[in-house]
Amino acid sequence: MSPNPKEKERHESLPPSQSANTSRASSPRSPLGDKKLIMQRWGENDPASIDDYLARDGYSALRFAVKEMKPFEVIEEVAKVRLRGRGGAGFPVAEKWEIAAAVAKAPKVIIANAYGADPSAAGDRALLERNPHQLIEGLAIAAYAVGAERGYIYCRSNLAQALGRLQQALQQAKERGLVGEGVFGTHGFTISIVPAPVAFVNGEETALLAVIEGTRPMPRQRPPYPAEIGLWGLPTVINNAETLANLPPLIRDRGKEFGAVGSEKTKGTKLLTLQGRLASNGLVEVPFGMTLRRVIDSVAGGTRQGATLKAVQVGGPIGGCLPVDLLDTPLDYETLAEVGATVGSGSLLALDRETCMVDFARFRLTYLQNEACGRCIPGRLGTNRINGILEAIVSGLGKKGDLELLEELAAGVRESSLCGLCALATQPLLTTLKYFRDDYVAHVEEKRCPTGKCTPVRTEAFRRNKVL
Amino acid sequence: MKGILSGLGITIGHFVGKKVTRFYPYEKREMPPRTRGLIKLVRNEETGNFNCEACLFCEKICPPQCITIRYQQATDYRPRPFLAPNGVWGNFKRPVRSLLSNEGRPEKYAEQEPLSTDEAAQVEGILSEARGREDLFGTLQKIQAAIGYLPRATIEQLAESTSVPLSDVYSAATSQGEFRLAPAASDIVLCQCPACYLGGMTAVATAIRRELGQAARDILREEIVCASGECLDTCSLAPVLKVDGQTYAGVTPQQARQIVREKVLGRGDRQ
Repeated sequence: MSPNPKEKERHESLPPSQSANTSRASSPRSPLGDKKLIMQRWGENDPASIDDYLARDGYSALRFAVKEMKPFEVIEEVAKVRLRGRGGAGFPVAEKWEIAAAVAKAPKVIIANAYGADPSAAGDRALLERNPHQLIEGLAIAAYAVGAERGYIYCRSNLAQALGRLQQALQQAKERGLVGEGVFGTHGFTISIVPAPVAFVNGEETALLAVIEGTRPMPRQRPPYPAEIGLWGLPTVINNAETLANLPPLIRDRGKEFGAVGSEKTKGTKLLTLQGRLASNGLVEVPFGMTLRRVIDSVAGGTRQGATLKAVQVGGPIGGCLPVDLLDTPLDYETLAEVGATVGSGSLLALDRETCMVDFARFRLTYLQNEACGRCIPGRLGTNRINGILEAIVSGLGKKGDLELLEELAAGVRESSLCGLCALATQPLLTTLKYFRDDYVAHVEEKRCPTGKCTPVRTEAFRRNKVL
Repeated sequence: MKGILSGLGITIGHFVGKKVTRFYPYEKREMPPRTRGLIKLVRNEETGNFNCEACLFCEKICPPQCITIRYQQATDYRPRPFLAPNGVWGNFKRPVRSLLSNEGRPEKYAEQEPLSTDEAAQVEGILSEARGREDLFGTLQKIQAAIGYLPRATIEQLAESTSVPLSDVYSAATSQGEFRLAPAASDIVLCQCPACYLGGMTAVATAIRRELGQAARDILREEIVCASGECLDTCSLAPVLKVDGQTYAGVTPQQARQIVREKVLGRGDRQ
């Protein structure tokens, strides 16, 4: 996957579905209209020019924060509107900052995680391509709040355009003296860009530290949390890029607009990537608290012609599959966790009647098993065994008792994995087992696929040779 | 009160107990059985070889990183049984090399062909810019982009010039799917996003594996890397696969078989 000069050309000549910098007629309509927070100025701005960004109130939030506010006031402001981390777990940002700000060790480090581990979620990538200055400004505000002197922007090395835009923007910001020596009065703030190799686990926050330190990227034991002992033993705040992109509009009007949208527990908006059998696919900003049914019906414009909705997977590869009758679940961290899905990377994949849910679970588990880092036994062997059993069931080799074994294995992996990636890797399996058990039973007991779409991936000879 | 008395009890016990002062150079303490005072390589009495297997664990675990180990290969790799478990259908990410017969493999791995002068100059340039741990992954990516794989000699050079332990460079180089440790004859990448899955990628992947499995024994000394890669970014043209840098969109299983037969296996016909 080396950066290839043709990559860019190909990217620009692409049809609209996934590509991040397209806004055609078929793209979904945001329910926020002109009141968008993160995507406020996207589309009309010129991402390659800092003058354009400055002319649209750019860096005014940073100036305001540094001149008029004390660091703890910035944290209070963020605590007041209850900004939560957009990386998936939804941890309150202000709490994380307070822990790091209270540690006496210096220098402190802040990292913007613009990695976007889920390859099909377009949020982080679109942010880098369409408004890189927004991220730099948000990072600087966060650094001022926690008193960090070093900043890192951690992103993918294979996205040539996003990386180029980001480097250009950082260079411009340095020339204008917005980052660098002495920008916060008493101390300076320098930013460096870390292009990381491509693997699912590299987006995990402690594996991310390992990549920057130049060691094998594997998650490590927490506590101690990175906010206390992080990069090279320094207190480190790691925030998702989308979280940081919320800061400039939040500080600019002191949270008025931000506090007005969202649900009871979570304020603000989320960048969703709509994919699958929907009338329009692409990136869209929706407020928290909106039900999934409304996202599909009014934002995406319903399902694609001729397709009947069967399930929705929310949260990327590690998300859960929800059946149609759970579509009234609001988009929020707690409500989705209750039914077995996550907000995760913010991708929403619609599956139609043609999709076999057993095969879909197998597809996700194959990916997650290949991407498992191999540090903890449940993650390495547990996902492998689950994947093996699913392969057998899909190939018509399922045995009685397989489903119970799957449940037992999944419970074990969920309980004892080292990091969230393998613990949540069981979610596609557990939710399909719970909501689409008939599909599994038909495969195991009647040896047939209800959709007739399953392709055998194993042979009888293989099962005899290898015990799984 | 009770606490003080019990504490004093221990003190008084020592008044009447055995003396513990040792006259050190004359009397030596008995060491626990697993103590390693001074580390030294021990030879096996029968064969005369060192007992150290160069597993590099000590180098890796040494807190101040004061151990550096240089080693060379004494024996060939062990032969691997044909159709070794794990490597065949189970883990798709693994190269198809485990399918190949064993002849001709050991020397290829033990001694890789030296780089051409042009390639060596490129590697030299990249290594002179390497700063060590902080851009370890970046340096490896640059080498991979320049010559297509990470030769063993280059990895050793990199460890030498940046003073990062060889075991750490090696563990970084083997941690990522995008790094190759040997030149690949052919490179098949299958897109792994949900759009391609919905477009019927499973059937395409199975067809490719069958095709490779039938013919792989005919290709000796060549490696085919077949990996389920990143999203190839052309989701409306699903399913997409990339063979040696060329992208094929909307592939059916039959077409995939044909592509593999022509582009990948067509190369293996040389005598």
